[in-house]
Amino acid sequence: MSMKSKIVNVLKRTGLTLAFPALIFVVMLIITLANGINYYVSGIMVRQVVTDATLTTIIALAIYLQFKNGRFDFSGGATMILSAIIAGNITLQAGGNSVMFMVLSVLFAVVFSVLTASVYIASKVPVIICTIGMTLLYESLTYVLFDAEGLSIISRVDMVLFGRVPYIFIPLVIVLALFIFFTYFTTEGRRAKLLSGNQKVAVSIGIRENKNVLITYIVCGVILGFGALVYGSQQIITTQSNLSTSSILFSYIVPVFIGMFIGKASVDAVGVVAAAVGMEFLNYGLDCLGVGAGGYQQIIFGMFMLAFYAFSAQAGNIKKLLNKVVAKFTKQEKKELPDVR
Amino acid sequence: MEEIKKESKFKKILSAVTTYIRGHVSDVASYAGLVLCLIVFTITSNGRLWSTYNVSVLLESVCVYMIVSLGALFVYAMGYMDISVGAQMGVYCLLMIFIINATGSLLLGFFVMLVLTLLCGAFNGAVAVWLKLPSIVTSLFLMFLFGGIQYLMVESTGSSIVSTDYDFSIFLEPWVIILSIVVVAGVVFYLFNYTKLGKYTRGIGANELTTAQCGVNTTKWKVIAYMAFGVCVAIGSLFLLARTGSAGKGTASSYAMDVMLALILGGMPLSGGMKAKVRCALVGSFTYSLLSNGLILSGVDTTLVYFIKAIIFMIVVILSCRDRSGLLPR
Amino acid sequence: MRKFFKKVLLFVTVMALCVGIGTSMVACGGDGGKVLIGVGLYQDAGPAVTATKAFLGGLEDELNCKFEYTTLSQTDEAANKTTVQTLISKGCKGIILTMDLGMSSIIAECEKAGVYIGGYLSDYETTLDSIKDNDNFVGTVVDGAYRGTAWGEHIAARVIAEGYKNIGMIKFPAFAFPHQNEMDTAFRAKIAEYNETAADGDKITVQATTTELNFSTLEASYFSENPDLDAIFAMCAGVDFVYPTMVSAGKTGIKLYTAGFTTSESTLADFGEGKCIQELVFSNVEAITYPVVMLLNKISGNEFADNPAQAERVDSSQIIIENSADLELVRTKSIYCTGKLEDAFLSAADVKALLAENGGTYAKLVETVQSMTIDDLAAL
Repeated sequence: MSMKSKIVNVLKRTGLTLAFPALIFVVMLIITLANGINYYVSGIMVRQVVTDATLTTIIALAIYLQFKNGRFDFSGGATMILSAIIAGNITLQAGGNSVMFMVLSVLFAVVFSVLTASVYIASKVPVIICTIGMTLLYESLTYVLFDAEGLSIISRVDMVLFGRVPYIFIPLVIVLALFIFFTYFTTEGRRAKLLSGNQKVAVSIGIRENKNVLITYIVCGVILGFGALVYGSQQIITTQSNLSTSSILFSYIVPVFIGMFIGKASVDAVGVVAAAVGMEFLNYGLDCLGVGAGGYQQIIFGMFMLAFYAFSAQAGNIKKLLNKVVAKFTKQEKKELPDVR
Repeated sequence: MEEIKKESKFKKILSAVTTYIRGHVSDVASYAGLVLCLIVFTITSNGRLWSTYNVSVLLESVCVYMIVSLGALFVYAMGYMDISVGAQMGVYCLLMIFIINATGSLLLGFFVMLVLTLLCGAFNGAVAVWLKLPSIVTSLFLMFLFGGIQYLMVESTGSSIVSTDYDFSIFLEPWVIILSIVVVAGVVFYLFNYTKLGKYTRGIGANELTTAQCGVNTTKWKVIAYMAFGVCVAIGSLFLLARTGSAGKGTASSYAMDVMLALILGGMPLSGGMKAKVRCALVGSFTYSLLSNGLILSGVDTTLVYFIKAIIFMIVVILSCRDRSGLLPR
Repeated sequence: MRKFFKKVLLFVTVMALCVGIGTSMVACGGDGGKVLIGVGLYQDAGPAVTATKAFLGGLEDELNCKFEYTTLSQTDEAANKTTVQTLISKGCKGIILTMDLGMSSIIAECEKAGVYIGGYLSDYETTLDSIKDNDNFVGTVVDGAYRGTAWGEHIAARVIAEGYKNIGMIKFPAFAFPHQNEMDTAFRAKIAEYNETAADGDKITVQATTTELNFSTLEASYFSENPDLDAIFAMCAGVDFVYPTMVSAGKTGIKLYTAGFTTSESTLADFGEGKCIQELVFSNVEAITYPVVMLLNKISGNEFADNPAQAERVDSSQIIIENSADLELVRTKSIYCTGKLEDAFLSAADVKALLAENGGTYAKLVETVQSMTIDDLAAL
């Protein structure tokens, strides 16, 4: 295949993936205009979508990394929140800045991720149960540390640089690059894929699962660290308990499901980004329509998610049906041609 | 000679006990956790744990967890989980209040709620299979749907809580609570251990493909399992409403996670299968309620309550859910 | 079946052992003669909680009582009932609650147990009418004024004086906070009155329909919808629900008039003349004196000579911070910021003197909780 055709192929595939957010944008634009709302497209909208989609992408990629490798990790949200609280408060007390906040967030997130991995490996408890236990532990620490005050630095301009446009692109690019590099260009990334495909066979051929799990959790920790950086820069963080951080998991898992499907055309990481952007176009549009929070938003979100997932699960059958219809239609056309002999 | 005989008899007993514990770590750990909590909290609360008043308080809070957990057994035995149960219970409580306030009939309210739970159960069980969706997707959908409906129902009343003056006091009597638990536990025990429902749900959890190839209609039994869960959710919602006579935006919001935690504390494997047992729900829900009650009665600072609960949870699950097969469990 | 019965027998034996140990310990145990009062707060931590605990801690010896703290749920009434039941199990004779969620079942529980209940920083809007005649309810002290009219007029006066012309309006849903409607109406009435005599160029435009926040932070789309604002009147807790969005949307040039307070230095740095936040308000933790005194009177069987026939809802004064000098005063002299008992409006002896057994009166108690303004703080 020539270089030109390769590039065209890549662009085509990426275009297919990006068609999802584009479609959402157009639909919401039409709906808002039809309701007399002419401020859907604005500078504020772009800023809001970019900042929210970045956070969504980072957290979704962290969830997806574990999901891809056959693990449903409950502790991601709690790791992120606790890392943000500790890193943010230490940075505040030390009179530090955004860079210090970033370094400490990543450091603590890696430490907690490694701790989770170590407990999982040592205890040999099923991963969901183990990570639920670690979630409870990390959430409880939000009460014990720093007088249970959480973190509130959103107005500290010197600390929240990476939570705002344009610097927010830095953590996003780092996370994307790290995810793609680890998954597709490293040996451990490929080994993780083998392990998720058939664990027994992969271990039998000599893959050291414990080492692979540890490395995957370290990478996940780095991603969650950047998530903590952005999350702490945008939100006031309070104490958590009784698996309340699992709501983070369940909110951000939707772009993962959608991204898995639309990313089939290109790269799954790009799919997750596209899904996150699409969901933020939807959320912003619902805000403009006055159904941005409360009952209606939850119902619309749930129905959208179910419809999309049902569509993606039945995509094969839909394609077959369409082919049948097209074939039937073309057969009919052939029948109508006059016999010229 | 007699002393030697006594010593060898003692060694035999000790050896038998050790062998039993080694072979039944999971069972022993969950029971031991409960017994240890009972003993420790009895001492640290200066005996207040066993005052008549506190026992009735414990019964009231355990009742809902236990009944819902017993129903959840069927779903978790299949290796699935239902995270929409909290939102569902909130809506059912509100619905019952509206019907009772409009008609004065608790029976009608309960009947409507029961029909709704059965429909949701059928949806969860059937739609996921027909559309080839993971069960978590339908569960997520119901969570968002019911969460939104709950919010809108409360908002429509123009008040932050909705209440009824119906006299629920009979449902708070200890003998009624104990009788309800015994009846539900008895029925679930029978269904789970002596009928096809229990056998096939555990079979689906162990290996769905094998179960299907044995000629079992797995879709049908999934639907029935979810519907059985729905019946327990309906009964649990009734007892929950009876506690306060009111409901709001956040009623029952934490029950999905609480039920999961209770089952895990009772030694339930989240992958389901043959190791699922009725005692997981009974022991787990009692331990879970006892932890919250006992820690506060013992004077533990509220900031440390969650930490201690987390540590106890980790110890119990490490002892009861450990997989020694060699591969990392998933 | 045999195994099952063996397990049941073992379990029942252990339970019997525990019950035996337990009942004997209850018989032997005691609480040192101090009256136990439970306090259900609306949050786990923060400056208000620290200050409340510091204040109450300082009263324990003088009043011969002990306070047990717990946190209530803002959404789950069954959880609140369980919390109150646990406090009763602990031996609490009186309970102070900062919200009335689940109150009808809670008051029934207290009646059964012979425990008394009082309110703190809550107007008990949904339940007061049904419980004010109940012997076990002693009344509640509101966070500030029950009616919102005065606050709405005060903010309107400031907006007019400071020359802002395009005002955004934000509040919580009416079903949860009905008195914010009063603030809204009073504000608009005052502005309308001003506009009647103002020149065309000086007229003030107020957002036509007040935006309702569904207990989540303000959405950034608000600023697209209202692009020309120069001030916002946030009747909700604006410091937590509006200010963060203003910061992230880069709209801190808009002035924010709101209720609420924070000890976060980074947020306080944006308060004052020329800055974003123009007003901060908080309720005095010393207002808890009202339910404490009423409960201790009830528990000891004493009553004020001028005790009201029904339990009442009493207003309390608040600290209103309008400028940097006020903020500095609060930072250095208010228990809310310092967390030190010696900075409280009332000492333990002052509170003891308010009890009925020491000649206190209801009128004096009410006057006390209504005399804790910024001017009173400056005079201390």
